[in-house]
Amino acid sequence: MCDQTFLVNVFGSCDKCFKQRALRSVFKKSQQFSYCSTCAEIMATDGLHENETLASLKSEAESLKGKLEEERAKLHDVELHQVAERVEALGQFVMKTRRTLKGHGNKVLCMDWCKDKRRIVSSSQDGKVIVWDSFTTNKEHAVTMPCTWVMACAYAPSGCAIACGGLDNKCSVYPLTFDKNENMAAKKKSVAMHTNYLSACSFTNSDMQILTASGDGTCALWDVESGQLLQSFHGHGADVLCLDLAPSETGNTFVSGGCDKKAMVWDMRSGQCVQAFETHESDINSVRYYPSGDAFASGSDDATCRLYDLRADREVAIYSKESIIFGASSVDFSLSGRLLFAGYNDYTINVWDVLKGSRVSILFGHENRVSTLRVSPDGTAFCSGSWDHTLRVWA
Amino acid sequence: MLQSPLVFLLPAAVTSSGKPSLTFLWMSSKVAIGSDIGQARQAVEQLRMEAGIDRVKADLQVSKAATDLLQFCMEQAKSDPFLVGIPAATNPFKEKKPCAIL
Repeated sequence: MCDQTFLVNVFGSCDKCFKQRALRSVFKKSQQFSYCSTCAEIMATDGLHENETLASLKSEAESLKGKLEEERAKLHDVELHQVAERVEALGQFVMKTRRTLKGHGNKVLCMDWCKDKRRIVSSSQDGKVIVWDSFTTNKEHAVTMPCTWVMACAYAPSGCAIACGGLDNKCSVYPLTFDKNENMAAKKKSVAMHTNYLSACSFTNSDMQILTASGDGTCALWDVESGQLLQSFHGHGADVLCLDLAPSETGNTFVSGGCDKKAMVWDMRSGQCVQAFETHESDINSVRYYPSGDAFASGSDDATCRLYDLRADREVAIYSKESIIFGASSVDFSLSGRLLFAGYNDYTINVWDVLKGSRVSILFGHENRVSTLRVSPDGTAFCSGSWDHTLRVWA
Repeated sequence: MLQSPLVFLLPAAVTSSGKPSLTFLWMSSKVAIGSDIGQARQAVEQLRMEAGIDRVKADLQVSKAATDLLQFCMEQAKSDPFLVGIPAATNPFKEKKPCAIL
């Protein structure tokens, strides 16, 4: 997985002083300006109080963080697994590969289920995006993207379109058609434009809006029809690798995780970050909301998965074992939230008991890293995609 | 929270003709977006806001949150196919038992 970001530095005339300088893009209330570095500093120091310097701000930030930790610690009266002690332990699980989807020519990077609980869209490093029927393992549609490393793909809620993107820095929407004469690539619509690779995308509750996350450190909400940027979300200090929308029908928040080890919860209407969690020790590869919407899990390169509760505003459980030393690339919950499925870079999938914090099962089968994992909408099965070019449906 | 970018000028900055091109490629593994002071101020304001919340009044104890998670889980457990198990006949992914014609 590429963990280096390349920035192109552009020379031109600054929006403020009009001199020919190296330009930096600065966002003011979601509008983008290009300022030279001198003007950017002046803009930032506007309205600074007399004795506010970088050092004093840093020390204030540190002391506030310390105070927050104290406050949170006071309310940490019990652990999740202690509360769950009286819950019955889970029995043995028999989960096997029921279908193997073969056809990709290179590493499978991302997949998504259709709401009809049957179709799957998957994207791979070779630029191909394929729509499968998971019951019969037939391929229904295939599109070749103009770029390689298609890192994100998503199915529209209606089942009539798919969105995908990657190193082309864009998110494109393809309407799905069964007409043999129509070329799918001809109907492609470019919706999102970022300044770095697209790492994740998801439709909101309708086909009309798409939420994207990018290596440029921002997330953005787009209108599909017009391609217009509706809202942008700034706050991550490095590449954003994953995002997930809150499950409720009226929900308007989402969580994102990035290379800055932070998971941030955002309000989609205002563009503000409402909560941030920074307990992981490495890049967060995947975030997924708990089915009730009150918590979310994250999987990271530090070989742990963690559960964060949004109301308690803290991490409430860690899922790790000394024997697991490879990063978790992808996590998802079962329908009730009792099980957490996590795909790891050591080719295995671990199944965790969310409440008790223990591992329930370990699944072998893939011959390379598991890169993506999603539970089907009705919870009967889950699908994992891997760098071994295949997808497996487990039940 | 604040990270200084690791910045290297790649040899790719020079075009094939040997002259430096107008655009340079910067390779950084962590990029700080925006100016440092601006970012620091935003961070401090966000932290001030978070520290101002009265947590006890807002009922944010872990015990209550954990109990709620537990309750949701127990309620939904009956409808979770992985926990309850669907008979092979109705699960579209599991093999169906052969049916004998009498």
